[in-house]
Amino acid sequence: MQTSFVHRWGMPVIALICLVLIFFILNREFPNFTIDMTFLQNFKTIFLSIILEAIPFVLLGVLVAALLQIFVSEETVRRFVPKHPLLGILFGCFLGVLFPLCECGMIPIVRRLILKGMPVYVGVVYIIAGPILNPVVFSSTYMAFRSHPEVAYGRMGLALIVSIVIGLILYRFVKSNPLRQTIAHNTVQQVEVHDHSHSHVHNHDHHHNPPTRNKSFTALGHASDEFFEMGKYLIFGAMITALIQTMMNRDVLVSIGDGAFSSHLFMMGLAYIMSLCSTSDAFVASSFWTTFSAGSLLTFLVYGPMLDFKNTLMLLAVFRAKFVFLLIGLISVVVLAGSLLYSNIFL
Amino acid sequence: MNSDRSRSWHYGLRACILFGFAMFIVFLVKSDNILYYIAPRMIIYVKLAALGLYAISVYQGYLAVQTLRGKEADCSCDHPPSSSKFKNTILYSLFIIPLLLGFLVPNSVMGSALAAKKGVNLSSSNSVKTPPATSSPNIRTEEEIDKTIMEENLGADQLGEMFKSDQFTELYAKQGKQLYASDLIEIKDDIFIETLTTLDLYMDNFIGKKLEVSGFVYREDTLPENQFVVARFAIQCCSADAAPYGVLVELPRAKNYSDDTWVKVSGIISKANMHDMDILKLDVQSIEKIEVPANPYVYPNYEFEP
Repeated sequence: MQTSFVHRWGMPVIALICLVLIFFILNREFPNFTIDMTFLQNFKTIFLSIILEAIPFVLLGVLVAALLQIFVSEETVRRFVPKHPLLGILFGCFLGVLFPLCECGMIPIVRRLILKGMPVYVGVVYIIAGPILNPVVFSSTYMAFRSHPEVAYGRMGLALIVSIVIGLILYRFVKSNPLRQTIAHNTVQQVEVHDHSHSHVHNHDHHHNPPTRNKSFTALGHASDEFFEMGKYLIFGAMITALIQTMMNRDVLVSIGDGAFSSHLFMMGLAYIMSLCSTSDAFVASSFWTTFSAGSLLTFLVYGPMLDFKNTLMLLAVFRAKFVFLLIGLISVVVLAGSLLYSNIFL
Repeated sequence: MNSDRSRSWHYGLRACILFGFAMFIVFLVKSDNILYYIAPRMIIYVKLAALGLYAISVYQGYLAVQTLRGKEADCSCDHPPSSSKFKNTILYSLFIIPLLLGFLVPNSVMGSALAAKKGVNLSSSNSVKTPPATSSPNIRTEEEIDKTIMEENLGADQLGEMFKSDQFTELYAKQGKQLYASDLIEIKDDIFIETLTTLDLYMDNFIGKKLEVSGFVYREDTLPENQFVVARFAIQCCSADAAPYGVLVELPRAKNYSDDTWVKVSGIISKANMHDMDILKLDVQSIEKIEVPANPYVYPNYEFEP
């Protein structure tokens, strides 16, 4: 698992840092920038607040995942998920209504469910639709845009459509298993193994345990392994996000995003680097109301929860890099197209 | 066995890190500094998380001892930790950095440096305002008016005319009428954003009224010397989504108040123009420096009911 962490991410990270630096030099922000106490304290405040806010949900996620691992059989998972692809995708879309978790908590659960035999497209649909299509997010969006309920409805509708489209595409084109299998059991397999046989091997592993008493301990063990697994990506993501927030002037960004089309692109970029939680991003979006079109705010509200810096890193912990990049491309294109279409028809 | 030793190290280190996070949360809650990071409605989850972290930490400590004694861990599917020292150092320092920052760097209130990065919101009714073209046909004068206001010397019709509302701004219109009736309008912490929104929405009605507000001093580069903004950070979930809201104030001795000073000002409401938008301005009559309040932040009020 960590074997490739440095090798794989060393270069991209350095490249990213260079890009950020170039950005600041171009914007003549750099000369003023000194590491003084205020900067450090502000960085600390935002960095730790993201971690503190995410920890409960990550913890809940890894605990539920561990419990699923131990107490729920593949049979049950298979029985619960509808066979028909479209029904399966709709099931994934509305799973968020039953389990309104944010994406930090969702990813470990979905990995476990996929290992237990849930089809990949259903799991991924849950990851992207779940943080938007749930009652908590709907009400917070509705509150933030009190006089423009069409934003809240648009957010839900667009998220649903985008998720269905992505689910169908994944169903049609992704046949191989995109999970990074090495994570939990790197000793078991050498080559890519179909998930069925994988879980079989795994079950076997557990049989030598005395059944009940140890089970909860085992769950704790799994949970803590996974906490560190997810945690390193979360912390790294929080660090970059906090750096960007403490260094970058929003005004500079706003001046980039003029124009009908570019404002959509800009909003996607902003959502990506800000890595806000889907329950609170609506209020941030509402402060842009006069500066940006409703359509581009919709892009912000749909794109952000599906994809941002923090959750890209967490996705990379679970899925193969190739699959994650495919997903990023897919979400970006579909959200952008959907939002442009939506704003031309309805807004 | 050698690998047992190293595994024991891993478990021990993990136990310490988890324990450190749990203690950090306890420490924050005890000192009330948790408010600098998390909105009150989220605190309960963070407290629960501390319990969870503690439980896992104890278990990892137990594993560390067991492994050292040479007993196999009870789940053989635990992935063996990486053997490379370099990678492990990076992995664990990622977890230790926030802990060090947490314990060593003093907690601080977000102030004007961050406000400058985020951009202060001076007209808070943005998201409530409906564009005039679409809203004018729908505007209906509100019929239900508080009995208390009826008895004021202003006629109900006249008030209704002044505070026109549609279905979305009804609450603000209602609060507007209440504020209009009072001699000194105070912006209270628990309805800070809502009150600012009302004042901004019905700005013309409030010109000449007396207003009192407290917050930290924030300056934008474009402001003349005799003006600054009295601002507060509004938080939804955590400090990462904090957004500063404020009121522009004008006073001759503005220079005497440096950035981030906490002040309470009162004065007469007037209007100013900034970035091509009409915003509220306060002509200060009295100003006093105050201590940083116990809770420096404000939160959107979900039960706002004037």
